[in-house]
Amino acid sequence: MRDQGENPPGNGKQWKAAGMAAGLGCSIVTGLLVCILGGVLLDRWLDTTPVFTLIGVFLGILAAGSQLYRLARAGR
Amino acid sequence: MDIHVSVRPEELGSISIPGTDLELLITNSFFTMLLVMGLVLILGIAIARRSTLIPGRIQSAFELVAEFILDLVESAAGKSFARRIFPLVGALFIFIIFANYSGLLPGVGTIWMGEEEHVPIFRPPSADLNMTLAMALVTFVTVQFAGIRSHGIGGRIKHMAAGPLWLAWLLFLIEVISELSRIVSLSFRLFGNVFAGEVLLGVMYAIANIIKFSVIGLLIPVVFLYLEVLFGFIQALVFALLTMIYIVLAAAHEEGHEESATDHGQWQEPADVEAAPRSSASGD
Repeated sequence: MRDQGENPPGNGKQWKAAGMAAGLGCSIVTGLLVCILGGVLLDRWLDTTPVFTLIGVFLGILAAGSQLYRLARAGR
Repeated sequence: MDIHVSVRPEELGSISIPGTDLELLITNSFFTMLLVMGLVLILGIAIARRSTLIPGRIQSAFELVAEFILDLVESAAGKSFARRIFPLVGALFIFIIFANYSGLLPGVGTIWMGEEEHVPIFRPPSADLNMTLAMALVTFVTVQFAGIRSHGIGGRIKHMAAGPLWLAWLLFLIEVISELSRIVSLSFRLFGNVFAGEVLLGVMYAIANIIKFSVIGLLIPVVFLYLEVLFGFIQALVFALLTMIYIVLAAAHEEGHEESATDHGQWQEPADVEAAPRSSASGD
């Protein structure tokens, strides 16, 4: 059964930080890709190149930054 | 030796659903998933039934895994809230790690059926995008449910657009994009890593087959098998951890809110958790 003090303090946190570090890259890239691809597809559909692509790039950078900030803060 | 690479899971057969014209396709990844689920269920039931106060070896191994995950969840969510989300996070971790390691078993990807077109009977469930996408959708729905349960529908929208009023629409838009991109990132990360590992192992087996029985020929796949053991664990950990973090973030009450003393008992804003004493670790 679970013993008090069996796990050293901070052990869970270290694993959590390692796991978050391993997963952060993909989370950031996906946010960027979703926005840019969405922008490119909208531009092709509406024939407005490069308006929505540029908006997608801008939103993607913001979304990726926000995601990075939140995950890094939560993973501490 | 042929190297067989197929991004799509391959069809083994189909079962017609009685009373409808629909057919349930049985793919190799679906078949392996059923086997993995059966194994996890049987092991879980057997260990739960035979559990004793002084654990045996197998019970100790399972308790070690359960305590490891519980410790992780408690370190992020606090004791009370952790007990609520632990079943989902723990189940995801255990299922994914079994699914990932199923690809390392002899026969998976190497036992074929069909005369003309060779179809492997077994394929790791997490090397199928359908499965990883389904798990990511489960996570997404749970995150939204946790957020709405914690804040209410209006509060959830407000929580997503937290910031100055003139910037709220942009923050909300960014948050919606982030939420949706999580489905893609969770599913593609797991699928990509496990599928790439399968292809890599296939190539290494082929190289070993060409080199035959020399020491190098035997060593090459072994090195990559060890790497796959590590990657399988890391990917299961990452999926479970991110699920946990997303739920905690969605249910979090922002600092400075009056209602931050939540119904989650010891649960706190994740940034403050580090400073808080943990009764389980300190032995209070």
